[in-house]
Amino acid sequence: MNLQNIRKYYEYPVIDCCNLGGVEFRAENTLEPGGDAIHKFCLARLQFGEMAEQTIACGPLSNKRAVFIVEYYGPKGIGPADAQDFMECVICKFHDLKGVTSINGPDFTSLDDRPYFFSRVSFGLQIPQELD
Amino acid sequence: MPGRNTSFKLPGLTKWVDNIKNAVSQEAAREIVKDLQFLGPWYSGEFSKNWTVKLGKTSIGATKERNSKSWFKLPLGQTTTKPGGRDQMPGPISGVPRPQGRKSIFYTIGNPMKYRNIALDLEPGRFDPNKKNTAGQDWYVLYVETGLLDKRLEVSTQRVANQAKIKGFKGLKDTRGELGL
Repeated sequence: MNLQNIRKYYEYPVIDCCNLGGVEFRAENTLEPGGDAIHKFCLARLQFGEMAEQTIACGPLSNKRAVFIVEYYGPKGIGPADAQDFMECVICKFHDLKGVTSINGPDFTSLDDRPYFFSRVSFGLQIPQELD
Repeated sequence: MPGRNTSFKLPGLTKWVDNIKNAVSQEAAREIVKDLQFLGPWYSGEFSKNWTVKLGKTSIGATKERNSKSWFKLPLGQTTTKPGGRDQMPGPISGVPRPQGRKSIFYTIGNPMKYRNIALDLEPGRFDPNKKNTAGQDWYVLYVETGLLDKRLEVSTQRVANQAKIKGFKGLKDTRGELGL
């Protein structure tokens, strides 16, 4: 499985949650979340990490490691329920996925310098061979 | 004949194992902090120099304010020079406390700066792809969750195991004493 397909495998469950909750999905390297909080959206990015012991993309897959980060941005002043429901959906989806070695978060916080209520969860991944 | 538990004691060996355990933990804690300093952001250097190691399972609160003097004396957008190599990193602010005794060893590593969540990329606000960044995005979770931390522990264990005082099995002298050799 190539890197783009790995991203697809882990991104699609988050997109499902976005569709369920009416949250806009933004992949990595799309618009900056620096504007006004007129609506809610979710950023997701897959960061590949330590995987160069043997190979990058053409050999055994057991060395591909990554972190998948999901960030929720919502308007302030509407309570935490929306963010909590969204994160619960994402975490439940990731319980069913293969290769998830750790779950960190979710953390919820109101950003000081931006008009957003923010939540974040990260998943440590070791891409299993059977994903191919 | 009913089975029974047998216990035996090798004089000196326990002490030797304790020495290894203590030395490995101390070395690993120091090296992990150096990794965090090397991989992490470096603007005024204040965040990097404040990594702290405490003995035991404890917490390190985000209590320290930014030192406005050290921050504002830098021209806007300019950073102090980040040390070039990992080995030149300053390490933990007050060193690594030495564990004593034979209990399990726990270290807590943390940074007391109030803005640490932003520096660790756990909250947005630090990384800007259009500017010069002294650390890659998500540098901290990448270190912790993608095998680099595990590798550091492995390397530290290996390094300590190769130290002469560990290799030499100092406990042997004690053992001989116990056995009257």
